[in-house]
Amino acid sequence: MSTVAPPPSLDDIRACFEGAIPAQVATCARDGTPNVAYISQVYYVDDRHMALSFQFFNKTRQNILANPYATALLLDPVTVAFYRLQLRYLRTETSGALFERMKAQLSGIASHSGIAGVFRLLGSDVYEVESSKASKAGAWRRRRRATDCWRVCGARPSASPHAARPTSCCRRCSRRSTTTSTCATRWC
Amino acid sequence: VAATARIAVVFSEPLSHRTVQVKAREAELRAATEDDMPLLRRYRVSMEHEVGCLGYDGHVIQTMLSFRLDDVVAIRFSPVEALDQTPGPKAGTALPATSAA
Repeated sequence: MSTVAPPPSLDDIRACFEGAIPAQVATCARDGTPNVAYISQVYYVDDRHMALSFQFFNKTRQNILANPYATALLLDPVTVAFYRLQLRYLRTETSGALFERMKAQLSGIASHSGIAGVFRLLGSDVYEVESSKASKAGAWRRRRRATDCWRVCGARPSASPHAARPTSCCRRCSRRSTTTSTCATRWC
Repeated sequence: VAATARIAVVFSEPLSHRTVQVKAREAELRAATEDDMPLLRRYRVSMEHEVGCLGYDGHVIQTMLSFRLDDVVAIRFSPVEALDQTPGPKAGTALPATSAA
């Protein structure tokens, strides 16, 4: 019996929020003109909310103030799987715990990227995540890896829900995959 | 793109952070074919080199950009607007158009 994988929650894809790889965020102006930009910082707020750094009054910011819907494409730096999130802008925080945490993380990202001094946090733009899904390409890669593991050790692939943290997918062959620990116990 | 024929695409060079966004109004979609493979391979090799300079193994990019040709859509368009999006206060500045020879 085939099962439909549930959409990944933000808890499942926490690695995407570590700031290792910039995310792409697409917005749309009131007249329908699209805009897409790399965003250096996407921040996990809770399982339903994330925040983007507001550093300059750029087109992304102009657009979300006029039209609050956005799409973010995140890349897991460990599994290299893509995730597409549908977002709705809620508010901007310019002080408080979230703002201070993002400010500290942004400083680290800027330093790591070799462009310290360029980034200055003006606000934390908080978004509700209305839906999320693993990209088709990512899903295909995970299917391929599951097949590879089966070929090596004969372990039966389960219906992997979606990528989370990498774990040893199979105790027999110790191959690493993008499956969850739940899958590991099912497989072997 | 299918609904409006409008498109915005962003390109970034990881080593220099130089980033450019281009926009178009009359984008055309078609399925990718074997004829597109040389271009796709060249892009992947180029990205492997670029990101490799940052210390990432080639297999990271190979995995990131792995694809099945029947999943790939080719989009043809002529940019009508280009913007400098290199991180910093000048991000979003329009790039001047150059007249065709």
